[in-house]
This record gives sequence, structure tokens and C-alpha cells, in this order.
Amino acid sequence: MTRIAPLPPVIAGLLFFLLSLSVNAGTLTEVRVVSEAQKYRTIQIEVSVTDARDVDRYEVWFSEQPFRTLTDALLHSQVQVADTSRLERVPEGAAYEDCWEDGLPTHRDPFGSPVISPAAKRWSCQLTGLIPNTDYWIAVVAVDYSGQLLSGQDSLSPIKTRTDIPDQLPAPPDTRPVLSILTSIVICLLALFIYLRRQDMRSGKASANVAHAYVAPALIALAVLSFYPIVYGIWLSFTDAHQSRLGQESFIGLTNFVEVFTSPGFGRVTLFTIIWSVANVTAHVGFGLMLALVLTKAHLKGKLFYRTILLMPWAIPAYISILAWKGILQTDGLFNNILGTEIELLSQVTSAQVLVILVNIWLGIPFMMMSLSGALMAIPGDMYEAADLDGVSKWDQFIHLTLPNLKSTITPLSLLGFIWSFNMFTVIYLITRGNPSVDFGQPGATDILITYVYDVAFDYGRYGVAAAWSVIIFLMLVAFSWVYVKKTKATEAVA
Amino acid sequence: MREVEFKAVNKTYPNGYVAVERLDLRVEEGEFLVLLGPSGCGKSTTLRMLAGLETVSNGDILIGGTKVNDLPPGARELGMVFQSYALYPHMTIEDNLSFGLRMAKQGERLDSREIANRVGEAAEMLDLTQLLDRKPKALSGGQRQRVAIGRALVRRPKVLLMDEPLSNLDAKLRNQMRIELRRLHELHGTTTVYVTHDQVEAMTLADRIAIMHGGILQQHAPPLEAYHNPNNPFVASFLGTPAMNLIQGKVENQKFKAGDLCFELPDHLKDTQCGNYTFGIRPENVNVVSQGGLRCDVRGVERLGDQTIYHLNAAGQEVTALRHQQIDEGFTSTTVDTSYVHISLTEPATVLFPQ
Amino acid sequence: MNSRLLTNGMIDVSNPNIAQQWYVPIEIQMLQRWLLCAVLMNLIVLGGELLRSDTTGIYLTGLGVGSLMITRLLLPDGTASWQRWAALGFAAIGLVLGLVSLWNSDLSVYDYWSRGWLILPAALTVSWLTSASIADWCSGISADRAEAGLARNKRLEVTLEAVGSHTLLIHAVALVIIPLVWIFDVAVSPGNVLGGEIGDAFTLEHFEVILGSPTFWVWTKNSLIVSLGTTLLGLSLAVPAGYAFSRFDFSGKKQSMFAFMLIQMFPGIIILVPYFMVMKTLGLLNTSIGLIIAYSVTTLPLCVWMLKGFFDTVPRELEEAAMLDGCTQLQIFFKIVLPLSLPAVAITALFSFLSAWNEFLLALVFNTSNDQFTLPVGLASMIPSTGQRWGDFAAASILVSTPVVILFMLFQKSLVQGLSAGAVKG
Repeated sequence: MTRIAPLPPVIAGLLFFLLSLSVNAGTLTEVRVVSEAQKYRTIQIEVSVTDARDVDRYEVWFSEQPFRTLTDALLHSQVQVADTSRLERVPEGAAYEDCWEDGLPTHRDPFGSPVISPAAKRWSCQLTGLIPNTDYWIAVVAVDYSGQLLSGQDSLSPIKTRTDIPDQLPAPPDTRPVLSILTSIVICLLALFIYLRRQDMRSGKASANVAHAYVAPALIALAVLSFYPIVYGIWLSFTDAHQSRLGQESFIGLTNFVEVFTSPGFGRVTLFTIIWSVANVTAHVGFGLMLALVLTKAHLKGKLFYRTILLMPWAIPAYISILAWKGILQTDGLFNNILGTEIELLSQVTSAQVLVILVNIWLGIPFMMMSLSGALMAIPGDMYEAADLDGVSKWDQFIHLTLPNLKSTITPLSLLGFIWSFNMFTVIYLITRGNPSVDFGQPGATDILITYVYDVAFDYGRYGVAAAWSVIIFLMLVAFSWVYVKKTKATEAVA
Repeated sequence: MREVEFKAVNKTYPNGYVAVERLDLRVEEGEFLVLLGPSGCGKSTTLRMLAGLETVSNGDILIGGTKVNDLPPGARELGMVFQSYALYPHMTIEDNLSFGLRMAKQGERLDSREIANRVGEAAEMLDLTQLLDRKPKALSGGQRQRVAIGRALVRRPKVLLMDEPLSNLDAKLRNQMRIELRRLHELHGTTTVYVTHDQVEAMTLADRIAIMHGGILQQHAPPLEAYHNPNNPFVASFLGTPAMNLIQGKVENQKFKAGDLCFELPDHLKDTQCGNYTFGIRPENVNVVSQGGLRCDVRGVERLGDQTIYHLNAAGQEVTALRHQQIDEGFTSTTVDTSYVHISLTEPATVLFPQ
Repeated sequence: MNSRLLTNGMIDVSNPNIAQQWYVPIEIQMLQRWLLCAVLMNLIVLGGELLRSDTTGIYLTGLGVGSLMITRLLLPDGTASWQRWAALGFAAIGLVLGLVSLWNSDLSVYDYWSRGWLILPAALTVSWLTSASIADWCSGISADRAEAGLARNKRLEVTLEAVGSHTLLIHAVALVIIPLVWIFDVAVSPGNVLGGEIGDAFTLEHFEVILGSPTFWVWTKNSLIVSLGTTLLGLSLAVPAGYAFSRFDFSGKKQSMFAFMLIQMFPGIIILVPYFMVMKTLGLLNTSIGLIIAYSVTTLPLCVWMLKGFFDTVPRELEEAAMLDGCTQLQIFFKIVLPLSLPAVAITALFSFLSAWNEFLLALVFNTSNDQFTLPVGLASMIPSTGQRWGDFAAASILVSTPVVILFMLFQKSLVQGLSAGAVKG
């Protein structure tokens, strides 16, 4: 691969000016597969460009069948065209998919996706994650700022290629440190169990001679795969772990935490997470209780039918109903159809925030409904008869009898619901991915803490910072739970 | 003005089951009436209709001369003690007692001082003063029972209703509470309707017993009258342990015949016309004698210490005799050494029910 | 002994007016509740009109909300008869407003529904307030009539409450059903686009595409491998542990149970990054084994709690009898306990299977290559930011979720019980 020194900005600007005089905007003169650069599960393509005017990004589409329109293909990757002067080039091998422009590794935006300058004449990219020994058809299209394909691309002629290198897992990195830690944990635990068993045998707990053997596998699994990662995660939060230097992280003290607390989006995303969680729990409990009250009425006909239908949001895999809601909320989706409008519901901050909350409310009601109807049925009915005889109104009965008796159910359920909502990743990731974005590189308007942690970890590859966010989330939850338990205990003592 | 009247009250459930049929009954002011009967006889339904917890299908229920059929329970000014006590588990005893008063309709609500007074009085009367801060869970069965009674009384009800209030207590406590209940009633004389299936409670507590069976009122009378002059075989067999001996047969020529058994009718029954009858005599009126009278095979003997129960067979008819130990001189040994005994009947205590 | 309680200060006068005091026509009681609901619903409708920025609609609905609200406030209380006329007037205004808004010729189902929420409550109020029984009550009612009214209340209350409950439930059911109907409609509509009337076209092309696409089957295979693997591994870890917790008394039991509870409290997020890194180091990314291990452990605590609860219900006497017959601990476990609690184990297995089948986040993070996608990640990848294949996605969703939903519904009772028991304990 030839390497060309970067052009001085003045010349680049001039070049850009000259090129933009050309007529056919966004013409791709040639797309070819660099067969000599083929690697495991990877195809490298090279694209020659005559004119990048009006081009916002190039998109690489692929399919296992020939295709003529993009609806029959899958999007593989995007290369943005933008001013690269304030971005950094990322060295080869640092990202999942290496990209080059005019022979040099491309610049990358903070999200890690490649950006090429409008002046670039030739760029190439690795397409990874392909299935070995499979035929692929690949097409590259240029897209303008409004998201439309540039002209002359109505009929696509994708090029055909094949992944030839057989399936084999890449040689794993050095596993010895991790394995030795895991093995030592296992050995320690085993030793502990044997010791405990000895003790029990000596003290004559007859039934216990197999107990430890029964519990050991589960506990070892838990220690190795839950407790160890937790400790490891806490350690990571004090290091500079990054996807580009895996296994070489070093201790950097509280730097990550300082960064998190001083990052401009921290307060905003925390606030929205709290609003999100509180709104969800309140609505889940409120609507769940309302439905449970109606469904536990003695003389209601069709109870079974109603309960079965109302359980659907719980029964259907969450990601499916979430994506269905995403479809409903599109500009050409059901919601706009019903109202006869074409509102971009998910690109306005307030409506996007309200709608993701509403979708999550929809998802969570059945669980609360069922838990609360169980609790309602456990309340003795003659208590209400006694109140009837005392002339207590139905409303007072609900406030003074039903609610206090549900408290022992609602209190832990609300806490649980709060923790679940706090960590509800799927709804926001699938519907908005945190968009609409507020500021470049900051959490979006609908990001909650956990979706932002995902971005930090897997879009930016900053594992250390992500671990610090995780630890902070965890501490927030611990603090909240602690206060909550204290408070509810206190009110219980008073009541 | 605190009397209760049932006028031809019917209760038919939507599935067609008739729980109470043409009930006519009057409970006088200050009276302690016990509704007695086996389970499923309609006694609880009657009480719940009176309380307004069940609707009346037909007929009228009057409290103090006012028709209350459709009044909501809270309007009837009743107090009720439930079988399971139905205390509010999340409230302290004090709150349990005052809840009804605090939640009364606007305009009828007492001021908080009056409420506190009444709760204090009830607590004192029922010996609950030490327990006011506790919750029902922390109380014994008898204490919960007293709280339930106190809660029913603080509203100063026109009529006090009790639905098997003692059935969840152990035997010893039940005896204590029985006496306590009677004392309370004598103290303030609230009209009381008390439902039970336990005849001992009925006999000891009631001014009058109303015995129900299959939704139909069988007899209502003061306890001893019902015991000695039962209206029908059901009442006769339901009151008293062991149950009254009932022998089905026929009367012919001033004699009672049942299979091989045949004996002269006592004097007061001599005028009975011929026909099919059930002859009844209580076990304690069957005397076991060493000789003379009717010869019976002995099927079994239960010695209870103070009394002995003989299960006998008189010419094919089962007869039970009950003797008190001290007068049972002929048979003091602990084992049955005879396979037969002789019995005689205390004649004035015999009854005949036409079939 | 204080006997003042009942002998003194008793209300001794029987009150013949008691029926009059307690009688409020059931219609009024219902209107008090229903008009409140109607106001709330109309506020929602008003929100819709605001989104539409339909000026006429906004005015009509806004005025409608106002009139219903005033009607609710003016509902007669039986003391002043002018209130009835005032309430009647405002209800009539609401009715007229609703009818005027029907004037528009081009109305959708939604429009009928939204106007229904103004017209029906207003019409009901008008008809009830003009009925003889309410008029009677407002102008002072006699004791006999009040008694008859109480009887009538009792009869009507059951019906009206049922109407209210069904209205509420039907709305809830509609909110649940509409997305499902819609996704079904998208699946049978031609082209990979949204929109169009529900039920305007029918085609099975998307099902053909999905069933004929090797990728879909690869995803399904991956999901099956992962879910079955999780179930097997998870149960083989959880069953003995649950049994030991339920039956044996041994040193470290308390601490172990606490560990299980504690781990359930930890939010998944704190282990997401380190998990990923451990898996990456061990070379378990983009493999089924990585996911199987991860899922088995994340569902382990809940499974152990569920199973412990189930084992607790198997009578100990049976085991003691077996012990007297000379069975060893292992024999007892495999020959007595396991067969007896098989239904419970099956429920736990189903729970494991379903959670693995539906899990999204770990699958997204661990498996980045298309041929290792499980169904959740695969289906989500059909809806990228551009070129969304809604029709294919909808068809695939129906294929994927139908068996899962049926399984869930068949075992809902036990699943819900087990889950809430496990959840509340944890």
C-alpha cells in the first residue's frame, strides 16, 4: 500500500474548488474488490470518486443475492464526507474496520466512524463480519445531506464477490492472566467448600454430606462470572482501558470519574434517567393497580379474556414490540396515519422523550398488574364488610384499607421497578438510540445513563470511562435503594 | 325502637339455591336472640341480610320499625362481630376501634375528643387499654375477639350482630368469652342477634333460640323450652348431647310399636290417635336399672368420669342412655361385665312427633 | 367497669327519614365518576387536535372539555333544583359541540372515537338529568320514593359498574391490540413500507422472503442453540443448588443465599463492560458458548429462588420414607424429588429458555457478526437507520413471537407466580 503525505490544507482547498466545478456530482467511477487484501470474514473494497460535491456520506450495502434496490439489501457501513481538519487519524488496527483515504488511514469522528475529506479521490474500507465461503453482492451509493440518493443511482449494479478464506476463529489473545485468576478463584472456593464440609461432618450435620457438592457448581459459576466481573469492572474504572490497547490498561486513579462528573452531559442525562424511572414506575404501579382492581372484581364477565390480552405486552418479546412501536411512531407510521398528520415525532426532543417513556410504560404494566392482582386477592374480604357496616365509603376503603394493605407488595415492587427502569436499555436503544442529539459527542436528548454507557463503551471503545459510568450508576442505585428502604421502614414504624 | 323484624323474608341465589325461605321472626328490643343450626341452614345468610351484606330477594326486614331492605349497611346503625374478627391488620387497636367513627359521613362525624372518649370507654370495658398501641398480629385470639366486639360497640349500634364469634377460639377461652358476652349484654342490653352452630353457646347465651334448618325456621323459643318441648324431630335431635333418642314407629291401641319393640305409651300420650309417629326421649331420661323394665343388649359404654353413656339395642332399635356416675351404682367397674341391661323411661319426658 | 358506653347517650330515636338521607340516585354517583374520565379523555383528544394543529378541532374540543368540566362541577346534590338545570344546560352545550364536530364529512375511526367521548357522556348526562327519577330527587323526595330509589340503585349499580369496567378494559385491550394488529398488517402489505390503511392489501411475500432467507434460519439456529444451551446449563447448575437450599442445613448456607440475593440486586450494566472484556480475552465473542455461559449465570439467581420455592412444597416425609427404605441422598434426589417437582423444573426451564430467547443487550454486545446474531439482534438489524425493511421485519416478528407467546400464555399462571415470588424475594 502506498502512503502519500497529507496535502497541505491550501492545496487541498484548491483541489476541492477545482473538483467541485465538475458536473456529475457524487459520481463513483469505480468500485472494486481488493482481492489481495482479503482476510478472514473480511472483504476490502476500493472506491474511486470524481466529485464529492453534495455528498454527505457513502453507504456500503450488501446482500447474499443480487439486488436492484436498497430495500433488498442490508447496510454494512457508512463513510462520512466532511471537513476533517479537526479530526484525528486513527492508526491501522485501532478500529474494527480499517479505512483508508488516498492510501492513508481515515480520520474518525468521536463515535469512531470513518470520515473522509471531500477532496479524497480514492478511499477503501474493510467490510468485516461476513460469513465465510459465501457469495456477496456489494454496492456503494452516495447520499446527500437530506438523506436522498444522488442522481443516477436508481438502478444499482452491485459487484459480486466471495469470501474465500475458510471459517476459523482468530487466534485468541493471551488468555493466561484471566484464566489464572479464574482458576485460582475456583480452587479457593473448592477449598473453602471442602473445609466447610469437614466442619459439618465433624459437628454431625448428617444431611449436609452432599449439600456443598450440590451448591458448589452454582456458586462457582456465580463467583467466576458475576462477582469476578464486578470486581474487574470496578478495577477497570480506575484504568485507561480502551479498545485499541486491549490488555495494556494502566491505573490512572480517579481520572475517569473526574471526567464523568465534569462532562457537560452528566447532569442532563442523570436528570432524564431519574425522570424516566420515576415516570415509569409511577405509571406502571398506577395503571397496573387500576387494571388489577377492575380485574379482581367478582362479577366481571370475560375476565380470563381480558387478562390474557392484557398480558400480551409481557408475553411478546420486548424487542419486537419496541420495534413495532418504533414503526408506529415513524412519520408514515400508524400514529400519524390515525391523526392524518406527518409529524416527525422522534426527532423533537420533548415528543421523543415522552414517547419513549410511554412505550416503556406499555411494556411494564402487565407485570405490575399481575403482581398487584395477586396481592389484592390475598387481602381478606371481610375487612371490607366490616368497613361497609361502619358506613365507610368505597373511596375511603380504598385509601385506608386497600392501599395500606398493598404497601408491603408495592414497596419492594416499586424499588425493583425503579432499578429495572433505570437499566432499561432496549427501549431507548431500539427506538431513538438516544437521539435527537443535543451536542456532538454528548449524550442525546433521550439517552439514559445505561444507553450512554453503551455508546461510550462500544461506539467510542473507551472501556475505562464506561466502567466508571457503570460504577457511578451502581452507586446511585445503591444510594437510592438505601434511602428508599430507610424511608419506607421509617413510615412503616410510624403507621 | 331497636327491635328487628323479618317479614316473610326469602333469599334465593341467582343459581336458584334457596338459602332462606319465608322467614318470619321478631327480635324484641334488648333481646339476645341466637340463630342456631347446622352449617348451610341459612342462619348466616339471615344475619348478612340483616346487616345489608346480602340483598333480600323477597319480604321485608325492619329495624326499629323502618324498612331497611335496600339501605346500605352503613345506614343501618349496626355493629357486627365477624367469625374471623375482620380486624384491619395494618392499624393499631386504637385505630381499629376508631376507624368507623373517623370515617363516618360528613355531618355525622363526631369530634375527635368524643371519638377518643368512646374508644377509651370501650377499651376500658373490654380490658384493652394496655393494648391500644399494638397491631392485631401481636394479640392473642381472645384479645382480637374483644377488639372486634369493641369495634362493633363504639358506634353504639341499634343492633349488635355476631357471626360465630367464638368459633376460632380454643375451648377454654370460648367458655370464658361466653360468660363475658352474657355479662356485657346484661350490662347494656343491646338487641343482639347471634349466629352459631354450637348448641352450648345457644343454650347459655340466648334469651331466645331460633333454630333453622334447610333455610326454614324450625322453632323459636327460650332455650329450655326448645330443649324440653321441641317442635319437631330436627329440633329434638339438634339440641342436646348425646342427641335425643328418636324411634320411628306407629301408635296402635295406646302402644308404640317399632319392629319388634313394643311398649305402653306414657300417660300423657295415651290420647294420641293411631298412626305413624316418631317417639322421642332424651338419653338422660332413659334409666338404667338392674332389673325390670326393658331388656337391652349393650353395644358400647363410654365412661366420661362424671357421666356414662350407654349405647344400647332394644329389640332392634338403637337407644342411648346417659347416667351420672354417682347414681349409677350398679355399674361402677371400668369394664363391661354384662352384655345386657334393663332400662326404664322417665315417662313425663317422652314426646311423640307425628310423621 | 364503665357501662356508660351503651346505656347513656345512645341515639334512641328511630329515623324514618333515613332512606331520604342516604338516597343519591345511582346515575348521579356514576356521572360524578364518568364525567371525570370523560374530561380526562377529552384532554387527550385535545392533545391530538393540537398535534394536528386543526383550529376548529382545537376550539370544539376545548369548549367540549370546558362544558363537561362545568357539568361535573354543577351535578345536582339534591339540595338546590337550579343545579340540575344548570348542569343540564352545560351538558347540552357539550352535546351540541360534539354533534357540530361530526359535521366534517371525512371522518376516520379515530375521529368517531374521539367525538364519541364528548357526545356520549354529554348525551348520557342530558338523558339522565331529564329523567323522572332525577327530577324527583332534585325537588325533594318522599320516604317511600327514596326507598324505591335505593332498591333501584342496587339493581342498576351492578349493570352500570359493569359498563364502566368494560369500557375501561376495552380501551386497555385496544391499546395492547392495536400495535399487534398493525404489525400483522405491515407483514401482509406489499413492499417494505409503512402506512396505508389497515387491511387494504394482502400478500404473503414477506413471509416467503423470510422463510426463504438463509440468514433468518441462521439466526433461528443460533437462538435455538443459545436458548437450549442456557436452559440445560442453567438448570444443571440451579436444580442442585435450589434443592440444597431448600433441604439441607450446612455451614455457609446463609452466606451463599445472601450471595444469590445480592447478585440479583446488581444491575446488569456494571458487569456489561468487564463481561465483554473477559469474553473478548477468552475468545468467546461471536460464539454461542459465550452467550450460553452469560445467560446461564444471569438467570441463575432467579432460577435458584424459583426452584427453592418449588422444592419447599415437596413434603419432606416422602424423602424420609425413602431414606428408611434405604435410598441414598442421590437416589432420593433423582428418584423422588426430581420426578415430583418435574412440572416446577419445567416451568423454570421455560423461564430460562424465554429469557435467553428474548435477551437483547448481551447478544448485541457479544456477537457482532451477522452469522452469530441471535434472533433479537438479527431482527433489530433489519431496522437500521436507513433502508428499513418493515414488511420483512413484521413477518419475521410474527414467526418468532407466535410460539413464544403461545408458550407464555399456556403457562402464564405458573410463570407469573414463580416470577413474582422470585422477584419479590430478591
